[in-house]
Amino acid sequence: MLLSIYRYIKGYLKIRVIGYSPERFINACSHRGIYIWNINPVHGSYDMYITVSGFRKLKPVIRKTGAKVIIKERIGLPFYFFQYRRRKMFFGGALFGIAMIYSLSLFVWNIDVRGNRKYTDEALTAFLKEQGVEHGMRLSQVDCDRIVKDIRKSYDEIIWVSASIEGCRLIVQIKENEDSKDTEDAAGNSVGEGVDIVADFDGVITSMIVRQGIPCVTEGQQVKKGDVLVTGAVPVTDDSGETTGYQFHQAEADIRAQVSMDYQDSCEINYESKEYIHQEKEDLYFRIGKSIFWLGSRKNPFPNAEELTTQNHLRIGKYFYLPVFWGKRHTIPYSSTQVKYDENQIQENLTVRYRHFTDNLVKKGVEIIENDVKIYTGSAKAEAKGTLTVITDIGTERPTSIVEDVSDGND
Amino acid sequence: MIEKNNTSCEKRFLGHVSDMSGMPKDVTLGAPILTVTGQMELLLENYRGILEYTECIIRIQTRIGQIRILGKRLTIEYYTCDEMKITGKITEIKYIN
Repeated sequence: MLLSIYRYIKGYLKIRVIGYSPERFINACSHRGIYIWNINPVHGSYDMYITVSGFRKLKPVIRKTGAKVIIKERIGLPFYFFQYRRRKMFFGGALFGIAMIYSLSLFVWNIDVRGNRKYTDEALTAFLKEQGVEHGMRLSQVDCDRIVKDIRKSYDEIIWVSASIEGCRLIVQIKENEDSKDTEDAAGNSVGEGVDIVADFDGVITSMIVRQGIPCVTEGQQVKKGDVLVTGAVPVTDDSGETTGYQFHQAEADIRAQVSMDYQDSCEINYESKEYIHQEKEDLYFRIGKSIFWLGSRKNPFPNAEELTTQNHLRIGKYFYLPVFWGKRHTIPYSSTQVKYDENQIQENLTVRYRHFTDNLVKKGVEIIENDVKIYTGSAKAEAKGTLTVITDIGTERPTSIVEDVSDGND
Repeated sequence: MIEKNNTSCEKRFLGHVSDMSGMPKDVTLGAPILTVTGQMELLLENYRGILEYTECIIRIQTRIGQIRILGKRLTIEYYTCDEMKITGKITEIKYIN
């Protein structure tokens, strides 16, 4: 393949050798280092291909062997250019095309943000735009170090940034801090405050294992939301047993409680049934920047229809993205009718959703010990309502609130 | 006749020398190298020239004698002073000394 492209660029000839003994001609060519290929016998003569430089060396060979050489075909770029040498506009257009590709390759046509989960592509692209980094800017003006510094400076939760240019793409890779909450807590502790564990809902404590801190409740005790379960303020007592101060720690404990949990779910009794009509409409379009050009009518003649659009991004090679898109819009019409679920279907739908809910609870380590969820069917809506009694982890962290009390008491 | 005997003696001697020294025979004797792929491709090295070439037969002169290749639609893909490649349906390869 490469060889044939090279030959085409250099130009070559198809010749016919006629004479008493053309084999002598072939041997003489090989002895003089003239490269010939695709030699085919044709009625006592031979057709073969020869390079232009090889053809120029043929004169002594022809004289020596007495063969007659006829040029059958001229192939390659030099002959092509010679044939169309008068078509100045064509060559001008080709040169213009090359110049266009070169000049377009000097700009950023695609900004690719990778590794972001919390911040959307749009948010980060908008931020970069504020910093002067946008689509269509010159590649030479892109300062990757500046981009990295700006992002790190403005987003605390982005802990690592890399900006690089690949072809016409600016690739911004980021890593977000996935455990920022823990970092905040650690930062909170570093200033010397303790952390309590407080109840995040009402319930009865069923088990309690305290690793750090002083327990404030016992097993079997009823607690309300906001009650301190384990305190991080450990009292320091003197010889007489009086509290002289507090040491602050981060309370750590595994606490489980029996909790009543309300469950409510509903579904519509009537639903829209779609029957698709096999009269799909396809519209092609081109998009250059923000301008869209439709091929054919854009009108949607159907009262009810679903639209599905697929879009492709034009690129040259792997990285050279151009601001040109093309795509197809499928319009799938349907007729809509209102259908009513019967009682069995309603029960099945709500039961499936309830099971999904309880499965998720079980996956989180919640133990369901009782449920009284019932289905109530109305005229337009069916509801599943009730209470679940579960045993679940209880407790959330909160900075110790005793600090002020102690200082007040001492004062 | 005497000259022919001398030549064959010389070849035998060179054969022994290459056997003992471990040198390849294509270097010492100028023996042709034929690499045949299936029935459709033949690569030939160490030859002197083409004697005859048609669609059905190619005769090649080498230092150890002639090689006759018979077949159908035989084509020389390329021909240089070092090697040549023949394609087509090869039915027979014959050595004529």
